[in-house]
Amino acid sequence: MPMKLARAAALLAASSTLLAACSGSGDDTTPQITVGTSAKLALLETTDLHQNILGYDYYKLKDDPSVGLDRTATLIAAARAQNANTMLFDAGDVIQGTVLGDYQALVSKLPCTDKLAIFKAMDQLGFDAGAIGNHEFNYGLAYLGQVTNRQFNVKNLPAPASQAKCQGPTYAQVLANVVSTLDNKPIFQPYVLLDRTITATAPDGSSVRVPIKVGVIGLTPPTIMSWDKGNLEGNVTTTGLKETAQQYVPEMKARGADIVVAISHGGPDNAAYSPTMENGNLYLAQVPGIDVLLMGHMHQVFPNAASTVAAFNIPGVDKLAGTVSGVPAVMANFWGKNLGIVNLSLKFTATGWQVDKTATTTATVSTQNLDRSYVAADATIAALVKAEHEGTVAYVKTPIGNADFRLSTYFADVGDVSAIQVVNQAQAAYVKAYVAANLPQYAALPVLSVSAPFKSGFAGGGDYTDVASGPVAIFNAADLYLYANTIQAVRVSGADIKAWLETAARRFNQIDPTKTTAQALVSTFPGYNFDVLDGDSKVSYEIDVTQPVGSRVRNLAYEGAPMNPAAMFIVATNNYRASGGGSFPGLDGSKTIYASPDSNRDTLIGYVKAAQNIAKASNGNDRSWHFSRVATAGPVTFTSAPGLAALAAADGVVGVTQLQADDGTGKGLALYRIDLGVQ
Amino acid sequence: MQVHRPASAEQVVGWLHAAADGHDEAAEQALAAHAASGEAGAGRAYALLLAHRPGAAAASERIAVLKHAAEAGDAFAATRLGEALLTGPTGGTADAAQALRWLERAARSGVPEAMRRVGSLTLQRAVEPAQASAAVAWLRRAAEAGDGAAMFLLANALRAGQGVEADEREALVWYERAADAEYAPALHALALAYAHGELGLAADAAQSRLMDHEAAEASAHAR
Repeated sequence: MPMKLARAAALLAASSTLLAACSGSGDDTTPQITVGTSAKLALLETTDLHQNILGYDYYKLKDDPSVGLDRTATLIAAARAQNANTMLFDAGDVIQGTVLGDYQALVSKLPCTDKLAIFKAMDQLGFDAGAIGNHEFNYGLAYLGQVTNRQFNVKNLPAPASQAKCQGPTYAQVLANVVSTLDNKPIFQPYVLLDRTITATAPDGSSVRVPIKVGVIGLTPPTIMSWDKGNLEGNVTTTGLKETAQQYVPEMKARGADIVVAISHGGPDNAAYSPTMENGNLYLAQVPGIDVLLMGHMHQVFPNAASTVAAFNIPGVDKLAGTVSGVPAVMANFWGKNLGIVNLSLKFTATGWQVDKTATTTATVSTQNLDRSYVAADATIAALVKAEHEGTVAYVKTPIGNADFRLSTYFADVGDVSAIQVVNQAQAAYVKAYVAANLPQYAALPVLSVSAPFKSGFAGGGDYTDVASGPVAIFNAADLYLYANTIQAVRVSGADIKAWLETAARRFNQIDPTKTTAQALVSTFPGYNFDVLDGDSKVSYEIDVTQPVGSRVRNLAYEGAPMNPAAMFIVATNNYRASGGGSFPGLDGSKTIYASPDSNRDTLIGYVKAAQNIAKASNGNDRSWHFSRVATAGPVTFTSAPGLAALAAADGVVGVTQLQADDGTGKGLALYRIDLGVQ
Repeated sequence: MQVHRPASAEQVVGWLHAAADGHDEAAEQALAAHAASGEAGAGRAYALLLAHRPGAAAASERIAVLKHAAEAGDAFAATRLGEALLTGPTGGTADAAQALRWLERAARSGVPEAMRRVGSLTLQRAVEPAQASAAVAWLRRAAEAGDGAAMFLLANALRAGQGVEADEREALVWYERAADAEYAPALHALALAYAHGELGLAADAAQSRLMDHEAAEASAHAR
């Protein structure tokens, strides 16, 4: 409940006493506060909400109770119930971060007449003020101006007078350290002075209603100038946190601020101060006059006695007490997982309100209960953003192409490539085009690709990629490429490729063909490192699991002939692998000839959009590898989701039978057998 | 062109811009001349200009320029030279032995990137355990000097027990430091580790998703 409503409720509850108390004062503009009056004021903080309004994962199309402002709302309500006086602030990174954010900014293109979904929710929750985070600039200044209803006086926008007035949040948005290159003035109001009336205790112990003026200044990381160079260069510049505060805090005090709250979207860092440093809060908090520091950006919890985060383990930062340079400070994690609370202890002295730092406490509360369940969501939030939520769900379900087969990783460990080949094709096509256009010295080299099944049953029978035959939508692309990797191309020799595949083949245990007892095929080597090599049906190899690690890859061929160990190839992969992830021999970042800014997932989306039709014959059955044929005396077993032996056969993997519908782990996995004698 | 006096930093930057953006031939000739007379700044700038030019001739000339500067004691040029020799000057065969000599020279002069290259290259080629542990020592020096990629490679070595006793706990510390330095591959490693309960971490899907999100952000920042 916002301050105004809280006051209204209190009036309703105790109107007669309040009216009696107020009636004695004939002059409302100069209320008298008795020296010695004390009060508690709880400052509540959210930060880095990143458009997580509802606890929902738009890529998985299912609820995610671990995030979302709808559950933070419940924490806010509880804090208001427990504290007579509260104010609510946000520390920035609000408008971007989920598919819903992208949908509103880029897909449905929010009309000027509509309020951004998360601002609707924040207004309903009664935020008092909020800062602007670095991600607010991601969609450009025109969009930021629209959704915040600011008419920026900057070079690349029309004159403020001719800009439309759009729907923005009703709470105060503050940002002091981003200034226009045209007039050197902050593009948002640098600070706001909020007049509030709080319940206090007079020296005689009676409860009184007294005024307080709370000054709130906002700051963002100056590093936005490089992060959003394209949107910002030439239009705005940044000023240092310390210098900016030194300019404005005295002005706020002079204009009557009883206390000053600095909302700084950043953390502390004990590197030498610089006006362009990303996390300047250690120095900001040293500026005289700042009473409270509300932090963000780092996606961390502060205070947190157990924190190992480097920034919280430096001189000047007390991670137990929750102070930065002696100033009470808080950081409320991210995506609405926590609510920060600075419980200010105030005393009215001859010189006005003073913060009693020894009696002030800071803390965060989590939406997750001790038993790992989550607090209930505030259902009114979902009702408020129903249209935007449904629009986003419809968007991620929008077909980008069509597949005439089921793309899955249930049998990727035994040779199925139905969900891997198209990823490899997309990566190879992307790299080929780049090399042809930009790296003529490598244009003669064949381009191959590797990709691994990211979802291979680790978490149980539901942890597999599975895209049904039919329309392929954006959320399916996320199932096919789970992580936000970026594309890289490495230049390697045939020998390097052999060594690469030998490492990938560690996925398997060494099988003793004479053993009559069951042997598990798959080792503890992670599925995400089981790279499968592909290249326009020109690559083939066998994996002989009876051999020790390092001697398993047989008959590695390119264009039908044994791959020349000295021949050079380009292999499309991701930044993790190319940089040395998984410790594959020879891959340490030095072989990269192209580090693309584009994600593997977006590349896949682009490929499917361009191809339109994804067909089994051309995109799903180039089984570049298979096991070497060997008869085993006992069964060789592996696990996958139950009841799918027919799918393995349809995908061309022979000799797969289900032994038990439940492998006994309770994870929804069945036990299968693969007959290596028929491979 | 005859060089009479060394160029100032402003001149070098001006020529580089003029040559790169304006295709100003006089500016390019000035850079080349000052590079040839052994000025480190001009050499770096000229090599940078050549790096963005296709063709074998530019690549060979770049190597010659870098060699000249490296021989004059420019550790930065020695690093670039080592890297260029590793890739192979014209997309051809790498000269790893010669590359390593230049990189070692730069590493001993304290260039973190060169320390990392030496460490990683030596680790790849190590036959004796002593060579491997010397390699990891270079990675550690580079990591301690703040090189995010070196932190990641050191973590990988600690995880795999390559050149050092396997120590997942310390590997995690270095992945996290590399993550703090916004090195995207380390964030990916952490995303995978949280998803699969590796490195002594409890499996935590939300934390995995966060690390993945941070990796995307780090990649965007690195642009």
